[in-house]
Amino acid sequence: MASFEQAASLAARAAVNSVKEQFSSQERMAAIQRIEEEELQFLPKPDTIKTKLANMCRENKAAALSGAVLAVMAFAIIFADKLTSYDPNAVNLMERLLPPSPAHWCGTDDLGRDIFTRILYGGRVSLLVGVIPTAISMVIGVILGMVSGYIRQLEAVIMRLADIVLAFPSIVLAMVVMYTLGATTTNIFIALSMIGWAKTARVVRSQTLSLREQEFVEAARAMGVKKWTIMFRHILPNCLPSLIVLFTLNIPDAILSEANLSFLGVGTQPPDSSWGLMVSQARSFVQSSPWTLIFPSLAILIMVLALNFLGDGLRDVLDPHGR
Amino acid sequence: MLKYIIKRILVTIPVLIGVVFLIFVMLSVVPGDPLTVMMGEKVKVDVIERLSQSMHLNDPWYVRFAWYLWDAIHGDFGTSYKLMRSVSSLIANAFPKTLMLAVTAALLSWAIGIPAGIISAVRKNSLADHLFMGFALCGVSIPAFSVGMILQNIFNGILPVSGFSSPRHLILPALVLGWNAAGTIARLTRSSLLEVLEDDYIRTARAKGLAPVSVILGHALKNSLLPVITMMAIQISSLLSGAVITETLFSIPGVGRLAVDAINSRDMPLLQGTVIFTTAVIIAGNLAADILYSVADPRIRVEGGK
Repeated sequence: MASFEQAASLAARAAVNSVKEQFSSQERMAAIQRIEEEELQFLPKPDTIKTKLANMCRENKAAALSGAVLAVMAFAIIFADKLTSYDPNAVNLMERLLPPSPAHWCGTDDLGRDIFTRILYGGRVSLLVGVIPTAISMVIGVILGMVSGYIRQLEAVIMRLADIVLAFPSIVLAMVVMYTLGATTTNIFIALSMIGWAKTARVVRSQTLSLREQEFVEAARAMGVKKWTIMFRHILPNCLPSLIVLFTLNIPDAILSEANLSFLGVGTQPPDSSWGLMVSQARSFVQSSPWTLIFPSLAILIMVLALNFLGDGLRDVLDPHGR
Repeated sequence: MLKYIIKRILVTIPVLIGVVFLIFVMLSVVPGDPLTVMMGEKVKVDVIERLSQSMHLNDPWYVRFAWYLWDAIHGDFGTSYKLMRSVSSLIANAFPKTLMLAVTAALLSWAIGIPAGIISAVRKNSLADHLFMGFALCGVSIPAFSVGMILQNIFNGILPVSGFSSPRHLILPALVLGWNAAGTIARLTRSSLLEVLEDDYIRTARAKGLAPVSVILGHALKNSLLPVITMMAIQISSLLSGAVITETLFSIPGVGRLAVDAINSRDMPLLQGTVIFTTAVIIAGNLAADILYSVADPRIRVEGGK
């Protein structure tokens, strides 16, 4: 391929030169432009993230479907108040533990609240807990990872800190942070961000270590570009594909962590609802009313499964060596 | 080799101290007087004075940290505020149960995950591959307590669903804990085996007429299991993490349950002790795995020893 392109490009150059000699300047410019456009067709187009995504959608049906499912779920969760007329927290003791019916698609819970409605509203917490701490922890992780990969003096300190955070079993550390700060939704964000950055930092550091040795970074250094500019303008954009993958795969982790924290009683607090809390509240009624358990569990399963499929698909196209 | 091992051990010491420090600081800022938690509101002043002295409560935090570290090195994590027993003896009582649960779950996950991964890799894109991988992905996508509750419901009356008094009590919790782990192992075995199957020496083995089974089991599997060993070490962490959930759900009196109880009763020394102990076990496990790995794969030794 390469030699063919080189030959094509050489031929085009020769054509340009012969045109230069033969025609007047205006004709010449037009002709050169035409030839150069033809030449462009032969050059390999670099795959942009956009074309890679389009390829993925064509070839990986599961990932494409997952993307669609996530879009629908996000839409339903955001416009929950338009989709259901029930109040998620309205207690109705006349309608306790009703099985699924046309009036209550997923049945009702022990306080007569409509489970479908609570899933939609609870999804807001689960979705926010998935996205916000992941975003915060990735920003922290990217900065610390790049700094520790590029500025050697800080490497030891930052990486030992990451080692310490990664040494803990994640749920246990989250539990202790929630115990220290108190169980509120904002504190779930803080706890999960405090834990999540270390993984990102390691990935970004190892990429920075290999990127800093490449010619374009060396060239930038030789031109006297400042350290921070090199990091953010030259190294960061090259980490982007694996960061997109990491982001997609970290969200389900955060959603499951919130569910676990809520199950242990240090996560989302009633009367607010999240999917994890709904499942753990169903514990006492599983036997007689299995729908209180099944529907919120399904909501978690579908969202996390879709994110995992999407993340795997993205990794195949964006970051093939990241497995 | 010995140099590598010693170096690797030395690196874990600051991490371990960091772990103790982090937990100590976090739990020190929790509001509330430990003596009130311990004895209730009505205590005589001189009793408070005496206890504060013996527990170093009047000292600045760094002195208390030094004392805590010193005691912890000697295996003393203090006395539980609520249970009035030494934290070390509580952990010593609970840990065998957690260990049994984790080991059973780990064995289960290898017994299921490795064969499933091999079949998926060998029969890539077949129905079996899709089924196994779908099942594996579900295992990492559903909260363990959801699965646990569903299993408790299905097997209620057939198998014991809570407590810990016979090996039969282990079946359901190990299944719940092992599914997630099996999923990870299966996915990793598959991708790693697929990679190895592309190698030249596999083509050579095939070309010289070896039976496909012995090519895969004799040649490919050995190399493809290297990353799986590392994964097993990382799994110690996720198994002990998961044990917190599983033990709470199935009422198993293990270390995870102890930590959850400590949080609910605001019992700081017990929480500190269980968290530090669990983390130390994980660090030790990772260390052992690293050393094992370097024995199995000399390339690591050389690159790591630089």
